[in-house]
Amino acid sequence: MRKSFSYTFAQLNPITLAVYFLGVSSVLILTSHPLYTLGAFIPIMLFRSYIHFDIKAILSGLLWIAALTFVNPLFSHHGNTPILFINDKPYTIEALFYGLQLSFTLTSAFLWCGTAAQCFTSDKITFLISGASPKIALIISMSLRYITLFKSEYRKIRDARKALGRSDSSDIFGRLKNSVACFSTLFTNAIEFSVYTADSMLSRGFMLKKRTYYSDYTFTVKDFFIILSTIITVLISLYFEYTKKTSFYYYPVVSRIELDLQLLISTLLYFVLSLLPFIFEATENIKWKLLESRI
Amino acid sequence: MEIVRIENLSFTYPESKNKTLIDIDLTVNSGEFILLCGESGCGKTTLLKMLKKQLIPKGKTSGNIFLFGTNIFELDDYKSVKDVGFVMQEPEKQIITERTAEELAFNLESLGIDKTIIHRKTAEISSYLGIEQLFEKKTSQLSGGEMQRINIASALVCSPKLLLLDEPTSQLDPIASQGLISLIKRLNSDLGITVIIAEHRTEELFDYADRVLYMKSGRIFVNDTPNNSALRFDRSNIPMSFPAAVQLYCRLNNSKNNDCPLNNKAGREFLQKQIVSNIGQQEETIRFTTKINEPVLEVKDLYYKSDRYSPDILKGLSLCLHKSEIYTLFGGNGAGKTTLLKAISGLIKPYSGTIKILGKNIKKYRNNEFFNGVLTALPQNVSYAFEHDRLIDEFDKSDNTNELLKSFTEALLITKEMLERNPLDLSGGEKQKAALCIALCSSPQIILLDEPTKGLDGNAKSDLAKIIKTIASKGVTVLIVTHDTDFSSECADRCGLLFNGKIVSSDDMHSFFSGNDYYTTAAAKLANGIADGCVTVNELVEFCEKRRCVP
Repeated sequence: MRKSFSYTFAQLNPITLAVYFLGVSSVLILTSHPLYTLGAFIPIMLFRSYIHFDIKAILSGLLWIAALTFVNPLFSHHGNTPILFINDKPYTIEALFYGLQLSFTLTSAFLWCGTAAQCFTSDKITFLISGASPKIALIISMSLRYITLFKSEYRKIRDARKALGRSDSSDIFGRLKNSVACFSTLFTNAIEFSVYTADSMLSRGFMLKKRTYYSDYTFTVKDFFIILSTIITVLISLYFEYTKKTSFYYYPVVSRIELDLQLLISTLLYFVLSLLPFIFEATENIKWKLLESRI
Repeated sequence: MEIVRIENLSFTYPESKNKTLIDIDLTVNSGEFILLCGESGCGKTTLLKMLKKQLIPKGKTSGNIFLFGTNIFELDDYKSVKDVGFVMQEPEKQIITERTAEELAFNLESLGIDKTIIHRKTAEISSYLGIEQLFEKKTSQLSGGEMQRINIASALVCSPKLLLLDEPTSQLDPIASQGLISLIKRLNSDLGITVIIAEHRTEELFDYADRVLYMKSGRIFVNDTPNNSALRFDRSNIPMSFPAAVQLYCRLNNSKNNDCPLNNKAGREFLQKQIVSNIGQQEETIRFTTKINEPVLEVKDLYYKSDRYSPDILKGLSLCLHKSEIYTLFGGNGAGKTTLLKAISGLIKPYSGTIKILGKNIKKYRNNEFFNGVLTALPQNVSYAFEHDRLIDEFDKSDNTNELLKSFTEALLITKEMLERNPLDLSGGEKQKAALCIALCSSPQIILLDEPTKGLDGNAKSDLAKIIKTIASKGVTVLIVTHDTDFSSECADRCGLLFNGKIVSSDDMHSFFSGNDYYTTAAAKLANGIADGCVTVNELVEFCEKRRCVP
């Protein structure tokens, strides 16, 4: 089982989660100010390390960041301050900074997407789609079931063929032929399977009336506030970004970070928003520690 | 109140010469529990499908079917879905969605029912059936018994008045099927739901049913109370699927009193009466000697686990099989039976212990050599053994001598007509035979079978038992993993029980079954303490008849 069930944050309504993750990642991608990047990077690192501290993953992440940073100037020769020349091409300090920014953005995006994928289990996805069409939600639910099912069936067929002395693994053609035969058997059995399931669906009233969709997700005040604060933060950040109030340039020279009120407010808001999964997890933890100490 | 009335119903499938149902007349009253039996292919499933409007097969129908007083073709679809629950044989194939909660809600969602009512209904059913712990699970994680419970539960959410069950336990192990049957009984006795159940395993149902319907080639042969229907049979035609007590009674049928023992308790009283006159005589217990040939398969101290941190599945298992021996291995779900078969066929690697076949470690065999001429294993789902559209085509590659094939088909009772058909269209028993034939074509020394009797009826099982005996007599060693004690008592030389990763009791078949009080055949349970040593109905009959001649 995936770890997602232990995330306190993942227990929110799927709609809230969808809005939240979309909001956080769109700000991360659409803005270029390093403070925003840090505002996305630090909280997600904090959250991931809090859930599961993995020094190997952190080190390999840093290595990846360093590599991207130093590789970028090799391909991008813009910028006014060269520090050395390779093959008569300038290796500029601006490109180095841009590489740093880019690698942090990519790493944060990667981590955020990973976290979102862990939070969105299949039932949450079907729930989200069922709002638009219960039928498509049903198709997705069935397909997800068939994927796991036919994977295990395939393994059984492969073993069965082997034990009957039918699998020829002497050369690549034999192996190829064998897997084609496995698929053919799987296909025939899958058709038999679906005919049977179709009977079951008919007998249980499929296509009789307009479907409804049942789920036990509830929408709480918490959900409402998270959605509201996500929307406000995203709007503020994007407004400042497009009115060039928080914009940041790398070429021809790296702009200075000027700490004015607008920048401070919007990046701080974004930082706090990104910190939410960590806050949820940490407060839950503290709450339980307190409860346990009272028992 | 009358729920079902069938008048003069006949039915023919398209492109079929014979009628599947012939002149069926049947009335079912509200609250009745009806047991429908008969050999495979006698029309049980078709009859049940005729009562569910959505599943009525295409074909030529004559006669009338009335459901809740309305002709079934005029019955409202909504009413048919809601009031008639239908549960089929295969647990896995009936499941539709990915999660149990969705599965339970499926019927109500289809009927367009409001979310709050769905919530209430699914919660209520889960609590009533004690399946709350399954609610959050994925359907792929459920066992067969759990799946079948979910299938029944999802029919129950609509509060049906009539429940049609088509061999619901045929794919389950004995413990799971006992649980399911007591659940079905409870639905009938507690809620008054009318139940029509088609079943091969009647041991626990016969006594409880209000009526027993016995079908024979499309006709209803018997339609009466359990007691009276048992009286309609005698030693020549008593079905193998009836309870051991009933079989014994009908085969001895000396006394013309009208009290047929319907369960084991009454059966034991009956048996006691049969031999009470000779109680003083101490008979010699029946002894069967098993021939001991040279060992073929030697398994020693086998240890296996699926990964480093999970518990051992096999813990120091040892086993020795001899030439021409039939060995059946029992054990609960997850005891490691299938794992053992996989280890023997080299599909998984145990981390400790040795497996020797014909005196040679299996690691030293080459793949081609091993599976062509040393060992073959048939999968639990024998459909996986077929890959062509005609059965005859399956043999072309593996067997070039027609003589060999001919001798196999004769031994396995495979007809010419069967060879021309698509193997997937064959009946369950025929599929087993066909797969066995394919396995034999690589002329193995050892055959491994995984639950070969799943879904077979009594007669198909005893056919299979005879075939396996024939195969063994030709020098092939057969290892069978099964739950079916009755089948095992018909063919096995030795039996063993796999428990906690080891084979805990391994003995010759008679000592095994007569030594066990609980995990044994129905006949041995009858005989326990009265006719020790008898493990099949045949032996019991013989035993009683011998006694009867003495005075």
